[in-house]
Amino acid sequence: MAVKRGQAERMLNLLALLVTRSGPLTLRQIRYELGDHYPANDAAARASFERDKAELRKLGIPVDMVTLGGAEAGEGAYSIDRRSFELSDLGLSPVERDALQMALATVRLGASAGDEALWKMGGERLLSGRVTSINLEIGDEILHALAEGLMESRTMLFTYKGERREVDPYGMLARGGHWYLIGFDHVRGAQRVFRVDRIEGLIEAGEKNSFERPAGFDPRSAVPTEQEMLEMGGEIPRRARVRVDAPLAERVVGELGEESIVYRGEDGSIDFLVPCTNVASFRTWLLAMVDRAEVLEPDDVRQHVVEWLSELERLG
Amino acid sequence: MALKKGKRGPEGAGERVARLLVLIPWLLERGEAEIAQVAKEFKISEKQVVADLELASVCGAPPFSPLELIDVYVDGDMAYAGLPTVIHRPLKMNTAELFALMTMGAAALATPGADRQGPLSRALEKLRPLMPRDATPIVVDLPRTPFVEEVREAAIDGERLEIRYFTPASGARTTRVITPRNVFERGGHWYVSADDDRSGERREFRLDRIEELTRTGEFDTKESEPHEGANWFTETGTVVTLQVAPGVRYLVDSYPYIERKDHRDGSLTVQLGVSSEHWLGRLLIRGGGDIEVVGGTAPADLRATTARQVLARYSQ
Repeated sequence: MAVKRGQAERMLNLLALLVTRSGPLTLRQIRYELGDHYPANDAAARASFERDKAELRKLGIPVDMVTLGGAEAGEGAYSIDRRSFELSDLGLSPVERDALQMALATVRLGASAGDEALWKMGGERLLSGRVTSINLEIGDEILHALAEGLMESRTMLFTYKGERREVDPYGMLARGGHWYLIGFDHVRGAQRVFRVDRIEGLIEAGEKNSFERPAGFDPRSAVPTEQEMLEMGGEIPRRARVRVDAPLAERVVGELGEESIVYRGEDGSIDFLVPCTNVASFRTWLLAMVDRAEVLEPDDVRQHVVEWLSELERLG
Repeated sequence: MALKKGKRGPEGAGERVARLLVLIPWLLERGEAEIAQVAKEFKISEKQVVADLELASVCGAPPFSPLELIDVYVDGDMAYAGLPTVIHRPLKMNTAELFALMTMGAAALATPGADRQGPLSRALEKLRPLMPRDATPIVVDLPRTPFVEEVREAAIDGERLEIRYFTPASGARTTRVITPRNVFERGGHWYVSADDDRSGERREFRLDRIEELTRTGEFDTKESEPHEGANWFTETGTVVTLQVAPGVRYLVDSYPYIERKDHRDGSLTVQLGVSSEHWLGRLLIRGGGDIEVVGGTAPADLRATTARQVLARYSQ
């Protein structure tokens, strides 16, 4: 009795057939071996076979083809090499695998790729709650796209701030609750930093190995810290003297360092020299302390803050 | 990609084969597993596990003798795998899985107190040959906050800690005894969720606001119930809706939100839980006219009064 075969079963059998036979098989031979798996009609059988081949390739199982000579000249013959798709033995000890399991349970990516990697190493997800968790949410879809670009050095195309960008991804940095992508922006002709959550829509990836990452590239130094941001934006670096009240002063020392202190008041307040070249960044930094900090000089920066606040008071 | 969460609709043959090619080697490694455990691990129903294994057990290479069939079977509530006949090893890691492993490894090793010579480092070293070239283009920069290690240890051991805690909103310092339960990093800050003797409640504390920490030597015997900081913003129950212009999105991006809508023009509407009026007033003066309260319970003149409060400093 004819049994209706599903595509999943046919794919598994095709895979089994091609990895266990020593030499390549033509589609004719495959159809003969697999009996009623493929439709009797030649064109339909070819279409089904092509579909299976494409699905296997998507799973990372390449089906190789050679063109035969002699009596079967011109006919294609297919084979699958185990080594092309099987994970080699990583030689992880049980303790090492446990450590990876623990790391994967601690770090939350909001994507299933970590679980899948763990299963391939024979591990199990730790389903009970962990004492420590690190949240680096990125999501499945964007993770797949970025991983392809980064791991295979593919130029990526995406929309950012309403503009189409063409970027060679050099690296990524997770800092301060955000993911940053650093790469060479072909539109700007320079290295640029992109906040991953601001990439709009889908990412398209180009060809494999389409660029070289600069030697010694370090994502950490490519993304400015908050303090570096305050110094950006102008030709001549400028600094403002800011008085910070006692409750917050020591925290600012922690942020800016002892070297930025110019005066310690008896009441516990401290005067700092703070970069203010980028006035907007400076103002945002300053106002985070509400009325516990005050710009003393220079006058134009002090005036800028007063005008900003007066406008807000007027707006209601 | 198979195994992806949240997909709806009938499963494709490719996805099913992908799952089987992960599941079968995983089971081979163990020899046997409870069907319930397999279902939980792979996030599928028990019925699906049985159907998958029954499908696999009839697949193999012609002539389909026992030595050419995939050697898995179901008996009662157990799943068994025998010999590696057709499928020997897991599939190679794809780029997304490598990305996830690298990221999780980097984050776990960046956690204060991590053992950089321990089993996790050794495991990552063994994974290195799988990674592209010699580059390590993914960096996780976790905040270097004091006391993370101490608080994590206390959470593991159930030890009570005495802390001096600074609250910026009031400028107050309080001394309290807490029993840490769960330590987590989110949005660039470390937090501890702990039982707080002072309020008698489970509270979350930002570790960079702990100024002093003393071990008490007293231990809580109650089993810890870690949670993930899901209640981060519900402490006061005040909820506001903000309309945020594109240029100042970064000011609100790192806060957990209840609801968020990104608009085409780059602006967003976001509903946030607010921990204090001080916090919201601060956000409004930093955002200038670019952040508006459009819903919820906040004083209508909060921005103006906060601006006035700061201006008072400049008119002295």
